[in-house]
Amino acid sequence: MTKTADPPPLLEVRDVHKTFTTGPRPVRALRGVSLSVRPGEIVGLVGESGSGKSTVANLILGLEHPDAGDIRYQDRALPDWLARSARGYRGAVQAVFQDPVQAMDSRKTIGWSVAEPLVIHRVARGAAARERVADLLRSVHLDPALADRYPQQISGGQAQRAGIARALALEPALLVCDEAVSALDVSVQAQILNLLLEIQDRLGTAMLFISHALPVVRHLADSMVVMYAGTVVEQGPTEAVCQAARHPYTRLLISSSPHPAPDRKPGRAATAPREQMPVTGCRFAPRCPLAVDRCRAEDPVLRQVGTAHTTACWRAEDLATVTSR
Amino acid sequence: MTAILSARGLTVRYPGARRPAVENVSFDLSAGSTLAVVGESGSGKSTIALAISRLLDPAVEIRADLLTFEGRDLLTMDRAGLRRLRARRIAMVFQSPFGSWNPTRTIGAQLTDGLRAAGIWPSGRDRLLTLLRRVGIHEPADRLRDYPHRFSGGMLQRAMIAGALVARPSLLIADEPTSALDTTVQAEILDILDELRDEHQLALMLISHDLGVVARVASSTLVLYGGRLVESGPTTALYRNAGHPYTRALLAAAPRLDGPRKVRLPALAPGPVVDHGCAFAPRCPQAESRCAETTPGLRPVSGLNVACHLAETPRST
Repeated sequence: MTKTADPPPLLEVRDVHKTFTTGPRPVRALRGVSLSVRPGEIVGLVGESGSGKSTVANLILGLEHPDAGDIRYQDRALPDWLARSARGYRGAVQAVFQDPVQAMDSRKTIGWSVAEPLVIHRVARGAAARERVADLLRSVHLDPALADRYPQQISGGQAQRAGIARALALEPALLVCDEAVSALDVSVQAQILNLLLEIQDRLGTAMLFISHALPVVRHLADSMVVMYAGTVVEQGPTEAVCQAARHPYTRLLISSSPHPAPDRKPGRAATAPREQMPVTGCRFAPRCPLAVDRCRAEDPVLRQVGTAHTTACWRAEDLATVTSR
Repeated sequence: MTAILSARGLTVRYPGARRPAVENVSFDLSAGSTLAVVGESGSGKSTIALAISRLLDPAVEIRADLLTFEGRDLLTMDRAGLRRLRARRIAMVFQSPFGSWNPTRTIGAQLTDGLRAAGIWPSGRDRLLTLLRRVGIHEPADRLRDYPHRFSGGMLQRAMIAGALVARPSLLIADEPTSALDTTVQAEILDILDELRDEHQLALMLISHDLGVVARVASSTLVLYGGRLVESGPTTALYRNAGHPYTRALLAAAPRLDGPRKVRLPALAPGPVVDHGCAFAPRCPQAESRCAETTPGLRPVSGLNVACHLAETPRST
């Protein structure tokens, strides 16, 4: 698909499907999702609750398994990694979650939690592990003395830094950050965003940064993927997607995003609530101001609309002539 | 316009707390307008809402030179009077759509409780159905038979708003009403609140940690830090030329869709909230020695009220 001499992807998600059958009705969480993350790249994954973005994270982390499709890391299939060197994979692909306090054992010190991956992977123990923990805490701008405290004794921002220090312990090539800044106050959020950019710069760590907040994703990501109802509706370089969005849902996200400028008063944010997801055609059609008969009859496929920029909308060409705002 | 809600020197102290949660806060809110109360966690913004509706534990100390609602003194009102007020005149919507509903009773049963409390059951039922349709719930008579788990967070919040307005209150306090919701739903709910405020000439108090969210709807804004008012005034002026370093820091720290990408955001360093002098001084990039010595009072600076010793100093940016 790519024509340029890009480095091969670090992680590839190829046409992945996932249906959950635990509830009263089967829920098709993912219907053919593909994305890739190159070494050192931050890919932003944006979408609303129920769009399937966290399912993508869980599949990559090996917490769930796809019904169909492939997940490949360094050109090797995930089941193969998990069968033959699960530790190698889990060391290379680490997660940062939304609630850092809950992600750590409240009966163990911060130092213990940060050291745990080192001990499990037999990288370091005892004094060496303690020294490495101090380095890791310093690298996320925390006082190494915090190692002796418990998760509930530190602030949310400090806990998220500690969570990131723990995720960095094994020098992963990829961080999967699922709503990692969503619960934080704006000034703390800014500190964590700065830290993630610094990690990308200094360590060359690639990230899949998942969030419902478009301005945050735009700030951090080199390229982005927009999901709606289990499908990718648009993806491409961040600037292209944000400046020249070619899917009506992306446009809606842009116009709905909080924006500190009171002069800009967008029109009615969206149309009728969507009680029922359509079975055929574009899932967004019931909310879409541009939907025509074809949209309700035929599933849109991802098509090229710019350099490395694709969208799944039958009306992408018409949308190009409509200005963004 | 005359204010329907007025506070002068509102101070709230939780038992055993080192410092008041809210200290010397004054504001007015009139019918048909929206007042935003903005601040980070611990700033006292939710405590203000609870103090107005007198939902705080009796052990919590509330003092004010003036705290009136529709001309009546909220501080001296008895419990029965407060209950009547909350049932009919002051409505509230809270952050957590799931936490605000009882999962074991239908939406209809719970909304009916509100109508009974306001003394408008069954006469208010038609108005409730109209309001439910108005906030975007289709076939409301059917949906009332549903339990909360059948509703999405956005739908629960819509039902909550409809229920809050059925008794024709004059004040609606919405505490982070959209923080738990998706971006597009958040924008829809804010627009609905804004339209309803206009249609019903409501006084709307919107509490939020996000200046970007309130920009959409609030005509004026209070910015709180450590329980104290650091800046207040028309929202437009606040965004254009915020006078307080804390307001400026809040505005600068949030990534914006039209801002530069992948750059360091000017993030405030963490620091303690101090009792002596300006509460923000330990974190303030511009603090001088006098900031630690005397507490700055609110004073008018270019169309806003700013509590900062340095507010008049022109900034070279």
